[in-house]
Amino acid sequence: MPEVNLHASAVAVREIRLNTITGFTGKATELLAQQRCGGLVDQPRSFTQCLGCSTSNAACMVTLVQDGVVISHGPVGCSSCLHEFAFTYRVNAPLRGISHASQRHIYSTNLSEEDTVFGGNQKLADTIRAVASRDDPRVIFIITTCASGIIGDDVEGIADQAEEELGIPVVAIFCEGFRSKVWTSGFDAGYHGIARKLVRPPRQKRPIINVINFWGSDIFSRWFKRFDVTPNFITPYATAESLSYSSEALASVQACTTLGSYLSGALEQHYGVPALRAAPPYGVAATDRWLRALGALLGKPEVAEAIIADDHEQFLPQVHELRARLKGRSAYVTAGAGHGHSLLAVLAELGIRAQGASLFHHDPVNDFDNEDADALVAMVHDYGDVPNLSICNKQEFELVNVLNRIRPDILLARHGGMTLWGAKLGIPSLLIGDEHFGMGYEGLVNYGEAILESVENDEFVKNLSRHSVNPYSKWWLEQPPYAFLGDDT
Amino acid sequence: MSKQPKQIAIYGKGGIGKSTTTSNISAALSDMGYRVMQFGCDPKADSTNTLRDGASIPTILDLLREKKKVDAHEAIFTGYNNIYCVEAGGPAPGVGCAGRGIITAVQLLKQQRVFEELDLDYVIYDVLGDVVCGGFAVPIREGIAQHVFTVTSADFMAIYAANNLFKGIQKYSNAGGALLGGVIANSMVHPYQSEIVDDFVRRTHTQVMQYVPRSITVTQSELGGKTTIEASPQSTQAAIYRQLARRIDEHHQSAVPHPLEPSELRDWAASWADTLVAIESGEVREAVGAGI
Repeated sequence: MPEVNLHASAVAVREIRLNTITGFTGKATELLAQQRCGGLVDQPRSFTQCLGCSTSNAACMVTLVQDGVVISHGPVGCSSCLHEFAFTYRVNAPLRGISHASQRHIYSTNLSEEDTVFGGNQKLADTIRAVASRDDPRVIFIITTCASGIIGDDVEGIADQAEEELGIPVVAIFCEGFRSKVWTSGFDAGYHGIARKLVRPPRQKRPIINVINFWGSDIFSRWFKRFDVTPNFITPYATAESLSYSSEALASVQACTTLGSYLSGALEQHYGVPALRAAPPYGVAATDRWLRALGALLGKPEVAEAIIADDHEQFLPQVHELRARLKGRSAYVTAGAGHGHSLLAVLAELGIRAQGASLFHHDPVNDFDNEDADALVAMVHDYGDVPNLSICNKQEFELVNVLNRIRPDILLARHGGMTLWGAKLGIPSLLIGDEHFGMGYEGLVNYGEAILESVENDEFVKNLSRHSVNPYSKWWLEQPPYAFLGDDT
Repeated sequence: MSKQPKQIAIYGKGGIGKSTTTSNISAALSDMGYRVMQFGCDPKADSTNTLRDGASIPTILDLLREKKKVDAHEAIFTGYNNIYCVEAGGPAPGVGCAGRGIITAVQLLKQQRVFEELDLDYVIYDVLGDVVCGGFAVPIREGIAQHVFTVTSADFMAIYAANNLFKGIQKYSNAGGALLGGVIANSMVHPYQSEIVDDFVRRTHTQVMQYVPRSITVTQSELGGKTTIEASPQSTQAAIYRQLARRIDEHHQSAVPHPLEPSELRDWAASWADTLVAIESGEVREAVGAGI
């Protein structure tokens, strides 16, 4: 089992910890066969477009903590995109019952050329104190950048010293962009800091289940209520306090195994909070299994059976109806690893043929070392193979090429900026940022209706395609989509 | 839970004899029955050569250059008396960032919990030169090394480097960093040299761990690719290194040094310049420091 080592200040990146890859093309079954025999090899690209940065992903994990503030220790450009998380926090707050979303407090130490020469330690120390007195936060997160990492500022030492002085957790998060090509390493860095500095050793058990997720709608409370437990959402809309007692939960579940992998592993290995061994509940089969696994873990299998029976009765007739209306349709998916697998399951459950998927990375193993929680394994087991599976860290030139060839009836995307490629080609494209929208039995109804609405209202994208200019040349669109994959020149 | 090794870092100006001293300390500690790792933090990557018959070993950063995933054990070799030898390595002269190299190498071993796994009694970091940047300060912060010793001669530039190290230690001392154990006075030939070092340690509130005379035995041993402890165990010089190792073993309480300010250091050096001229010219003066 990959060991979660909370003694080291920096988390081991995914390439090293989990053998995660960002380059592959083939069938889903081929990918799984390679991962099972230990033969999974990352295929490099001889040309790539830009990638996301770990510092931004770490910021994503900690900016949405209600009573925390974030300090980016680096040049101001490294924090130029972080305001996006303030937007995310504000617009999704109603999904979690927060009527007045407070302002996010994101700072930069604005390292200058002079600071890279003389060191930024003092500037960081001063910033922490200024931020503490200005905002009175319950926790301060410091996210590092390439500049502070290379000059070797003592971020950990300064954080520890400030923590002692201020009496609140000051969490150093090591997320320099150059350390990893896998964007989720930034999530791990955020979780690593939280697990090291915020989570307290348990004093008692609480009737809560940790839900490691993004900012999706709350589908869990309805289910959990029948088990007499409540969700402890991590990290969006959590508080320093609620994160601190996550060690006292009865279990941890994740909306997406790749997202929850590290923190679930940390809470299990260090505080004995079991990670639920089931793929996230997308599709009927996976939702049945997930509820049963939860019922078994909580010692309430009869409650799980009751929920399954009730929800089947309520939602499956609508699912059958949608299947009939969606019959013969095809789709292509672009999303992060775990959630992309779940979307493929949703499509299969609705009777839509997945023509392929472009997923941002692939973990052959998770931090609690369990194949039952692997959503791709579950999807292939429940619904069969998927062709044209590409592991591709948002290389849009590959996506455009593939879409141009495959021409699915709909493109499903989880991330802003991806659907435009489908729309420009006249392909109806559906962006759903709420990752819980397709969860459970009602999620199938939600997605089915949204897909139907998109494919039946394609006039806009058709019109758009007639008037848009594709920035990629005819030459490139005629090349094989993975022409630059597997060539290390 | 496995025991925590005693971790010490040895700093000093380039060419002052750090690796020689460190390797002899490692060898002597291993002779005392301890499980020792010597961790060279110098892009030259020759810290551990005399523990391995003069042979070089692949460095952590060499391995990282070849493949992105390195099992720390691939970079650990055994030398004299089963001392574990590791070299951080680094970029070629004039390119890249040697400081970041040290951060990367130390992180790799920490993340893989190598020190705990090998059940070590001692980890000794042999760190290049002066504390020139944040990377070179890594062994003295983040709770890595507990004690720092600096090797210096009576040469002004070596003392200048030692004083800089003291500043680094003082800076990190409030944040749980390593503290100063003392000074190893190397290449002692004339009495006035030990007197200069004595005067410096008195002013900076530290101590001399050992006076190590310049010795042809050391040179002979090194040319044969060995430490003095291994090549000439009966020699006077080996006895001195063993005494140093025993003192380090018995040393438990380090302290925050009081580095001299630049003007103080300059004035101090100037006063010694006058004294040395007087010694050269045979002028009779009252003794300046302790020990004369």
